[in-house]
Amino acid sequence: MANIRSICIITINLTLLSCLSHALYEDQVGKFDWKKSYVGKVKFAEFDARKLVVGTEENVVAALSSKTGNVLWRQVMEDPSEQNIELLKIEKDIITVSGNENLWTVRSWDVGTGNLITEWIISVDKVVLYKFDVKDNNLYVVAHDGSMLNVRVFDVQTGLVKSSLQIPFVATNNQCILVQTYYACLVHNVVNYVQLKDNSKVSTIPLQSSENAKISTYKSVTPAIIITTSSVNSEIVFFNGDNHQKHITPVMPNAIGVIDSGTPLIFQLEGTKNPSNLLIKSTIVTNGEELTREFEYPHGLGKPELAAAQCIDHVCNLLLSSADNALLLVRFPEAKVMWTREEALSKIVATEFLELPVSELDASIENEFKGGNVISMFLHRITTQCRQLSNLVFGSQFLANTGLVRDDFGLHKIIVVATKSGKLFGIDTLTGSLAWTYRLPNVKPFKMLDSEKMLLFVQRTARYAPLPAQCTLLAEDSITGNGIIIQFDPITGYSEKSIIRLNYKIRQALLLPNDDENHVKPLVVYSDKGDAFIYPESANTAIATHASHTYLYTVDVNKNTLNGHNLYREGENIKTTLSWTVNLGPSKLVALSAKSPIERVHSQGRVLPDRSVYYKYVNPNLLAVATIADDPIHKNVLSIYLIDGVTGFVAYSTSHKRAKGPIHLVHSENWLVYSFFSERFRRTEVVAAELYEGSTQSNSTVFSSLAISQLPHVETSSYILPAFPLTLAVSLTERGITNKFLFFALNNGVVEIPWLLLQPRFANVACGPEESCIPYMPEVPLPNEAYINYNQTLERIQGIAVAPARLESTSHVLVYGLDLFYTRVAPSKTFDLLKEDFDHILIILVLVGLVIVSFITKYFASQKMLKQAWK
Amino acid sequence: MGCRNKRPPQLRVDLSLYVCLSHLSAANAELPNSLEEVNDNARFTIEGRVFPLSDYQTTQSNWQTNTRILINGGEFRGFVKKDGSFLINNVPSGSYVMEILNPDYTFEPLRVEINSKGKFRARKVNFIQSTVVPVPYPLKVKALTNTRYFQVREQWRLTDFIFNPMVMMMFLPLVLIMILPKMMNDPETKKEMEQIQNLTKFEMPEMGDYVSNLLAGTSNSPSQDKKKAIKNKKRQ
Repeated sequence: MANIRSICIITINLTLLSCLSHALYEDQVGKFDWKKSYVGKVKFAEFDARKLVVGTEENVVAALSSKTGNVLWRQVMEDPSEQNIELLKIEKDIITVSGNENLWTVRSWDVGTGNLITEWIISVDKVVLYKFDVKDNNLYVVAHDGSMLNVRVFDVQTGLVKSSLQIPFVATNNQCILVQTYYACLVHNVVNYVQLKDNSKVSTIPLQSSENAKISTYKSVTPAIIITTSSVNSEIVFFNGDNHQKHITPVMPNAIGVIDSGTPLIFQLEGTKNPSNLLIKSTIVTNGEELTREFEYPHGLGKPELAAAQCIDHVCNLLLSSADNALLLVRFPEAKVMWTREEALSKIVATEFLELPVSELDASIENEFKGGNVISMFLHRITTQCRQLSNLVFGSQFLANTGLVRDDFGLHKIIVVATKSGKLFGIDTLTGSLAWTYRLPNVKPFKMLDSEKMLLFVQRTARYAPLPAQCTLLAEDSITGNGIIIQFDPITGYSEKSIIRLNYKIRQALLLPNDDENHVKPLVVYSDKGDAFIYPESANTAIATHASHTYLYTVDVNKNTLNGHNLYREGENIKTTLSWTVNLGPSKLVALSAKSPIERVHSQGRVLPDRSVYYKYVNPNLLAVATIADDPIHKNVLSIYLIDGVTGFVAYSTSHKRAKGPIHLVHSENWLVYSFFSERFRRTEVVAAELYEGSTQSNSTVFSSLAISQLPHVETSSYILPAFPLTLAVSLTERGITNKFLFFALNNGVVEIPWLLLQPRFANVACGPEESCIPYMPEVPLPNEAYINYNQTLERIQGIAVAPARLESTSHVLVYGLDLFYTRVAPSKTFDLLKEDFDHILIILVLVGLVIVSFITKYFASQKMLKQAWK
Repeated sequence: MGCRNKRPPQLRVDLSLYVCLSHLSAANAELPNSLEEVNDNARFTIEGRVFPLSDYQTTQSNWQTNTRILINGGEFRGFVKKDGSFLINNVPSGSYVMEILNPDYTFEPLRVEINSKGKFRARKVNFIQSTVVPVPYPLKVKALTNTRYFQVREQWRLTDFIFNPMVMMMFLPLVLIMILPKMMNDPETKKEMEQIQNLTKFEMPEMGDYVSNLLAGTSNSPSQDKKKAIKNKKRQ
């Protein structure tokens, strides 16, 4: 009996789940989603036949097609915050060395497929600087402790030590390089070098001028170094046996060597008189013969550097890597840019979805009543409606012409992203193509708890035509650490004022909800000195009335405190006072989450089976905070607090023993979901906490944090997540009617899980299909159909950005990390749209059929009546 | 699958030999450490082999590159060699969950436990109960199934078509018209029906006329048209 019951429950669960989970059909693949793969900022690059093999600062080895720039294969190694790639060389296979200060992994990869061939480790106990290089299947590992070179030669394939040498070599360690079998150091005004073999002697290269001299590797087949003495002047020194030989003419600091049909060539990049053009110079090493070509450097890219070169039959591919992490492939004699990759997009630090402006045609309808007399208004109306009709019939040419215009359902948006390298992008949601780019020099993101973020605010949307939309980005100056601010049009990427460098550090910033006369939402920036600044400054008077009831919070990571501040107006300036402080010490603050400011809660409460309403505690000012404290008995104790941002009132707190990070928080409506790793059970647990006011609502019209009558009732339940979440997010829709879905970013993609599955069940309420309640299951199911990225691998997911479409059922989702993936999700299916497989033909046929049949039957009925009448 | 298992045994031996060697070299490097520390900082290598489904050649030619092995969600990473074997180097003693991720195949996660003496134990992952289902070590992991990410579109079926409400709407009245008169052979129901028809009679002749006129086409008498027009007006 019990068996049957459990089977029944399982089947019920399954049916409910199948109703809840929203999966794609196979023919919908790529219809409204796109994925872009990135590899990160290139550190090593080498050509091999038609492939370009790169090793990047993201600790990634990848092969790109040198024809198109697409990723052929990609192998993601350990986390770049712990391990870095130190060497990449192509011998027969690709050889990489990656690791940290005393432990390295040597791997060799197949060039064609990217399969691992061998893997072995080098571990050392002495932490000094180590240099690696590969020559003829030997891996040279050089440790230099100031007076002695300890050289170990490993066999690359097996990891066996072939020989080890000790060579006396006195030099300071910081300006040393290993080039194949030569070790060279810059010492005061000479360069000392030695060949790594038994009984070899240190030789010296004298320098003409030693100020600001630098040495670097000259990338070529023959061992050579570049000695740079000034920003435009440097020379190549070739090593040959125990001797060296200088190249006849001086070169640019970033020269690269390549062999073309047996002739060694030097490639250099030079600037030209025309700032948008660059000059490529190729010099034959043996006779100094030169060939130069000028080409137009793509607009918007940073300063380029030569990263790799390859020549096949006098046609050369040059790989340029720019200061803003872009990669370019230039074909040489033609001087043509073959492809460009924006690797900056592998490190996104801020995102925002923006509605597009209306098309010219729609905008002209808006202006209808602005014209003078009645006749002109009438004519205007007739012409616009004629154009609308022609658009409807002949397809909208206007859309095709202008591209970025609003559609009916808000499905076409522009995503503005800011990247760590300080480059801004506008991305079209329909195609994933880049609409514009904007480069900010010398900026870096803010450090926030465990992540790096820039602050991006939408001050004015595109709704107020002809005024353009306006976005503001806040970041940090990478030199001074002060704040920077930039305003730009998110649709075109045009910035009127360009970058403004502030003379203070930014602690917090918030957007006020009230527009000023130009429909711009004023931005309040709070400095580290405790002053508040308003942008634009003209809004200062406009917000005077709102200042007194504007509150902001700041987090002090060092002291583990949360502070609340109240704005007030003093004369012409806005000042702040400290209104509350919550000290969380000695625990360490690890995560913080606020609700999305654009979220709307549709339903006020939950209907109980007796048809009474249990009201939700919907406090938009609530902050969720997680701290971890060391405990002698329970190892780590995780504490979760819900703190009101206006008053500092702790609405709820709880703790978990023997819990470990990473902690992820998601906070929406009246609930909080968090995940942590339980060391006791060695599994990831997810806890859902829901806050209720009770069966009476204290104030049904407006919520006030200052009017607290009682503590909210809290319902909680916890679940096991059979995976390791990387980040958490929740769906967001226009009006909040649609069911909420949670997005769990896992190692193999993003899973959507209905909130209903996690929602705490009431102990005294029967749970069943009639209450649309799923019986409690301890383990959160992760069905394959729930992966929104289906079989596309998304590596190192850093965040999920969610925005509502104008269609209530649909949310936009952008998953960013090493890959960029965009899709649309409809948690309750698209209930406000006809299904895409809706059969228009069938319904027309049926209607026509019914009309015909009704006429025929009428005819027969009248015939019958006639016959009966004659009887 | 069989052919996978019958792979030449020499290869396997070679590999494990190589593993020992590489481990030795690592141990060599660690030798200068004091012996007490070795136990604490001891690092181990998890080894095993992945078997995809037997039809892999037809569906995914380069499954090795697309397969990733993650320990504790990415704390350590392993890569699959051409023959399906993998190594995860440098793992300290402890308990780990090993996931094998491939976009097209589903693998079962495993729990691998390494004690401080370097003894390995592997079992199936069960987060709810602490039942131990041991798995032999070195690990041999087979793909469970092809992963299905998509819903299957409903196929066109005759029954679906017939029970479609619109089709029912079309055919049910037809059936009623055809079958009901046959059923009305007994006199009582006939009488009832006639009564009902008498009730609705007042409109029918006019509509019948309209239809017959429409079908007759040419013989439209103007008087009738007028009458109809008046009646139509009245109705409005």
